Amino acid sequence: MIKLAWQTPQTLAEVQAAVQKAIDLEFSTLPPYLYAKMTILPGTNAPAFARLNAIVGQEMIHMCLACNIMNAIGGTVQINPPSYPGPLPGDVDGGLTVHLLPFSQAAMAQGMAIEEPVEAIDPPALNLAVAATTVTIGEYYDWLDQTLAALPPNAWQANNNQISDQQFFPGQIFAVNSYDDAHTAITQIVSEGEGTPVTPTDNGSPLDFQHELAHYYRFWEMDRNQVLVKDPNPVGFAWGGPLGLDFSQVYPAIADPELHDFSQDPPAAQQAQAACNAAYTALVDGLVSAFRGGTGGLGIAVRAMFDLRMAAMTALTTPLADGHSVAGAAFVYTPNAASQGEAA
Amino acid sequence: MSILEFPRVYFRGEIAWDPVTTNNYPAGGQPPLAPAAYDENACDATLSQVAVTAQSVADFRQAAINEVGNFGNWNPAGSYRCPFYNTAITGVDLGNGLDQKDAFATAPVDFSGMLVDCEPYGAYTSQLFFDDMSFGIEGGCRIHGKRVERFNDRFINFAANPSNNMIAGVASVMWQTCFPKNAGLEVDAFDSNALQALQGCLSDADVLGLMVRFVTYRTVYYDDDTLSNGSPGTAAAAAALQAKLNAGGFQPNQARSLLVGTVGLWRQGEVFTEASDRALISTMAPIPGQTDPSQGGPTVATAFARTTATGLALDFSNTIPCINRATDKFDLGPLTATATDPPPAVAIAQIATIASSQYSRAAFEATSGIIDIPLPPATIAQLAGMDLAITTADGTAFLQEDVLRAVPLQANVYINQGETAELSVQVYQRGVLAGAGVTVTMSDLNASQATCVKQVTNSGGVATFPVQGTTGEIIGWVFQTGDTPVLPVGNVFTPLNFTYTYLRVLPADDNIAALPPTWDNVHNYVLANWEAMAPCMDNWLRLGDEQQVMAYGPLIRTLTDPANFESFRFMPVTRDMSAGQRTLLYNFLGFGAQRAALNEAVAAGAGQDMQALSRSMRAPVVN
Repeated sequence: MIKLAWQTPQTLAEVQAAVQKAIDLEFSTLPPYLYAKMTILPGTNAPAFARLNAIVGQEMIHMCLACNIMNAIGGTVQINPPSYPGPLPGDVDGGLTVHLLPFSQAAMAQGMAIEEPVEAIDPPALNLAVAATTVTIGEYYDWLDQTLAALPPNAWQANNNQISDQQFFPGQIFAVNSYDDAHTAITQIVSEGEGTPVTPTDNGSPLDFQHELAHYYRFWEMDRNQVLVKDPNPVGFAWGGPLGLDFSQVYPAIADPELHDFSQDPPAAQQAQAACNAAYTALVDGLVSAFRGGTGGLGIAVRAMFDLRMAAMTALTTPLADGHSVAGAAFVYTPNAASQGEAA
Repeated sequence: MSILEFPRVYFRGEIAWDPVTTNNYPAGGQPPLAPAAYDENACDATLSQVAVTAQSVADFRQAAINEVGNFGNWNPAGSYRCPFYNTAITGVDLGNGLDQKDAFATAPVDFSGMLVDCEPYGAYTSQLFFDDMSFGIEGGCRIHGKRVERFNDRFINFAANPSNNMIAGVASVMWQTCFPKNAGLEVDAFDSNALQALQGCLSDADVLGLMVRFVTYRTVYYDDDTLSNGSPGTAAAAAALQAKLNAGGFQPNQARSLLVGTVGLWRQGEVFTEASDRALISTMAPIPGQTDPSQGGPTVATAFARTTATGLALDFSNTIPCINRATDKFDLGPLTATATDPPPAVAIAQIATIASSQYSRAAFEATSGIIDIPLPPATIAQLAGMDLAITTADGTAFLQEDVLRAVPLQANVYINQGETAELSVQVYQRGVLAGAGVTVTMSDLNASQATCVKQVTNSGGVATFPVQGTTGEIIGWVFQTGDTPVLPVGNVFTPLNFTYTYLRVLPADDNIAALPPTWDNVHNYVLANWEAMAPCMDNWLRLGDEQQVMAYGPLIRTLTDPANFESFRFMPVTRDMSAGQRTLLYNFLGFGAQRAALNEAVAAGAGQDMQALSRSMRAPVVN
């Protein structure tokens, strides 16, 4: 379970810093989930590919919503690419080092650890006076929600560099122009990640089978290679039939390619990795532009995302020096390399 | 008995439309000329035919961007993808009325299709290619099915909402397909009474599977529901899109519509491509105080009907026009359902009154436009031999039953030049299979009495028309019963009332097949067309990059294999790669593919020009 530090913000700048941490968190989940998805051999493990695809899409949406919140309260969005292996941004426990792992049970278990909810359903106390504590991601958002609710109305700026669903993810990304919008965004983020507990005032549930299951439970299904199904027992669900995953149907991809020394690999492998980094760098730059009001910014970032996918597909079929293993995208931000034309 | 039978599952939500619009316009013709244009007979973007270069592809793309706003090319960077969103089960009906508390209610509906027009210049042949569809999520109450074939649009009403006058925002259209029970259909009922009932029905040998019918309406463009054709706001939105497109990247500009739909049973004898229930076709009568439908006024559109065990079910999902952009329905007052003995007897019976609250927006959204009218058993039995109509209090008929109706078994047919095909229709009499001896006339949309073709139904009520692909072309074939039908020449044709099949003949392109399989030839004569017209392809495969194309050769082979024509991922999405182009491509990729032998071309009876009306719906929107 990820444990984040929470300290109640005292100023608008501190609230913006708390939102930035949420952006960093959402962004940092993408490389490990993408690495697992991209390393599935084509034509195999369709249930896992579909689940990971849905999870990745929702994480992208969560990041966009968090950026919208930042812009709505007058902050400046930063996209801070993390390193892997490493802790998730803000993790104070040091209990989880996140790796880029090829599709495997270990990767699924890691996903569960990232998304793990609070075990006990404990409606949070509305106590903004708390000084400092450690919380799960879901709890972090809950505290953040309460903090945003406490902001004065004039802290909110309407139509400030907002990204809507006009071009991508119809019905799932919306502008944040007020606290009510921010609350809706946070509710969506939490319910799709950890899952929303059932409380006297909230009928949501990660396992009501009326909405897409929360990420934690989808990772759990893949980890167990079993489908969660509705059941009339007291908890409302049970483990059903096999999911049909075959964890051997995966590219022979190394873990944590950022740690790998590509200088010893064939030129094709080096070029493939450089192309991945160039596309990733363009993606990060495109996101920065998009959330700072650049014309066509999100479309430019999305094109870079597709370029990253194509580059990763090439990398995953280009042998390293041992002639057998390959590397997926390392997700290394290399602005200087890109500007100097070193990338393929 | 189709989706009008019980049990039914209702759903409602939205769909995004992201087609590439650059092939909606021919080259030349009336000014302003479209520099980025398409030749549907040659299946070719009109690039330089002499020497295609990277620059000419780039120029074509730029021309398409320049056409945004001033030539109606509102989405040159589309991806063709059309997903449902915000769509969920709204209720069920087991024959006891609407139930919104069934365990299946509120479950999400998941669908994503590729929108492709068989006739690119027209609006009557839209198709949604897809693989499967889910109602509910895995692990819970769910229907998951693989389609028998793509969704096809029919009964398009271009006067469904005249107030929403932005491109096709005025229109509504009905879509239908079916999911065979013996081809991967799963119904996970759990505690849903409706799903348990459907599951039980599927064991009936007469039930082939499930049918899904939905109607899309109130289309919005540029994500702005206030825009109208030629307005300053539209010009500003177009300019903003152009700025994005010129900035680079992937810049789709999807439109979006509302939708309502119903899941029900698919029985033996029911055509899967379109509604084959009793058809109550539009009389085109004007709504009092409104512009006449012939002048673009709101139109009460074709409805469908079935008798059930308890009464009469009317599918008004595409029928009552909207009075405003909020999609409130016109209040036509109480409507009367009448039944008339067939001529020469003319006894008219009023069988029910339909209050405006039964076809209001609220009712429409609750039951996807289906209205159930309880009737005594004796009346239900009588209706089998009587002609139905829907009239107003003053006796004006808005809808009149088309008693003997020829419904095509195929909505849109693709063949290669030199091939033959059979276009078949199933004739229904008041929604029941007709027998032998019914004359059916097939005519193209500009036919004269001398050129139409007649066939007679067999014992199963099916009439079959052999057709031949003599040259690259697209023909809309209209089917009518009776010995001397009035042919649908020009604007007499309306997709609301006529049944039709479009036949697209792809040119053989033998000359292209015979070219040396060099990169230049493959790019110029095969790939450059889609590279120019569908910039979204850059996301997946750079069609101007020889190395990439070679690297993905096996995948390209799979995606372009005619055996995968129905697949969501078939390439090209536009389904217009000719046999000659495919041969050259496969030769280049090293598959040594043997092009299928062409049937002997038939010189006589070459197709005629496409009918004009459909294309007029795609007329340039000049601001």
